[in-house]
Amino acid sequence: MAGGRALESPFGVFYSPNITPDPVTGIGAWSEEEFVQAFHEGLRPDGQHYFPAFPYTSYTGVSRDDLLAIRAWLFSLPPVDAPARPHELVWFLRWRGVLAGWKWLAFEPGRFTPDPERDAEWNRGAYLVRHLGHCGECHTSRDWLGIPRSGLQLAGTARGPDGGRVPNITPHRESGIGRWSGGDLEFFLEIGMTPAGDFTGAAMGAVIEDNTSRLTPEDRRAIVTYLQSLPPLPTGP
Amino acid sequence: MPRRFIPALLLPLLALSMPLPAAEDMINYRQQVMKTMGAQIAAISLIARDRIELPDHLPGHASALADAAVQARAVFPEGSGVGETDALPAIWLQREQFEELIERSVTSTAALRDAAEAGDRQALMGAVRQVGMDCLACHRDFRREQD
Ligand code: HEC
Ligand code: HEC
Repeated sequence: MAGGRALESPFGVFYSPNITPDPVTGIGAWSEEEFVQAFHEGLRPDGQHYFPAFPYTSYTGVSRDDLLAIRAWLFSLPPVDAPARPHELVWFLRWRGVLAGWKWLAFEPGRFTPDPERDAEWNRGAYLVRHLGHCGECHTSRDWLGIPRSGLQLAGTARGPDGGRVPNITPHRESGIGRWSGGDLEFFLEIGMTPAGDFTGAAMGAVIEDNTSRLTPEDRRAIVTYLQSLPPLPTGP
Repeated sequence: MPRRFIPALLLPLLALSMPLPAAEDMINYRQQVMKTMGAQIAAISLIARDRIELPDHLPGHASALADAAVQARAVFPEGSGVGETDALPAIWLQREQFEELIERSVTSTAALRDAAEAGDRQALMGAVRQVGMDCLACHRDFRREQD
């Protein structure tokens, strides 16, 4: 949580910031309002824009209550004095003003609103996949501006955040997860096993270890219900 | 320098750049050991989740899995990282950390075998989860990302 982890991207190397409650180098001096604003608006307490390497384009939909629960948990951690390492970015991004333009194009702030046509389980799944779990940050292909292609949501990409392939998780029978049973998908999110007995590693391994294996079985079922309801799409570029 | 010495001088260079036949066999063997583990844990998971009602098969699968986890100790010798393999060089650079993960999976697969032999379904599911986490942890750090 003390930051410093490198995230490589076509736009340069981002270093994750310190999110321990240290008042000087961390987030210890942030008010509740400032914390919520970072996630909902992609703005730092000093009013500067965040790079979308911090996935506020997904987090904007997370409810205020859930964010305050996250804040309470982070503030329960021991503070670590560790100044952030500056990002190493391509020249045109060294000026955060460029971000204002990008955000105007790519970012639509707003909370998740349940779809009244669907049941509670589907809506819970939609909230977890689109916002809290931000699955699309990796599983949706992006255009040259780094904006997720809205017509290809969760349809995978040949060039994910780590530069490698990220699979299509729409229920397309050939290209996606159309042949997986609901139970297989839930089990994959719980322990990382594919139906053939292979175990995923790397990026998805981390998502499973840190996130989906710790959800309740009901939340995992909700994610699967939502994924299986998506339009089956061919894999994105 | 006599001509016939030249090939002799080149040989060590070739040896460096090509996987040794022995390494190729070891890579193949190791992948079979891994596939055995995959097949057994997939089979166990189907029975443990009541998708297949053949509980009598559980002890057999679980003991084959535990045996393979022990075999895995011997399938990553020095020099077997070159060739058609997804094993990452980190295995030989961070040997201690790697061996700790091997031992973790030996322990968790043995616990799974014990639960299967005792017919304890509650303990079985917990043991399957633990084994899964151990497979995942090693693949995360020491196996090339799949595509
Ligand atoms: C950090 C990037 C990242 C995030 C975030 C992420 N995934 Fe993944 N996911 C991957 C990668 C990479 C793979 C391929 C892993 C492999 O081949 O071993 C994968 C594989 C999968 C698979 C298996 C698909 C297949 O065909 O093998 C499923 C299902 C899946 N992810 C669902 C999800 C869900 C649901 C979420 C959100 C809760 C999510 N992922 C979030 C990167 C990510
Ligand atoms: C200590 C590290 C480690 C542990 C523990 C581990 N693996 Fe592996 N696994 C690897 C490595 C490294 C490879 C790549 C081997 C190669 O290509 O030479 C691999 C490859 C595999 C493969 C692909 C084999 C192929 O080439 O077709 C499967 C399937 C697999 N592992 C299943 C499992 C299962 C199931 C478990 C747990 C019961 C497990 N592994 C535990 C390191 C590990």
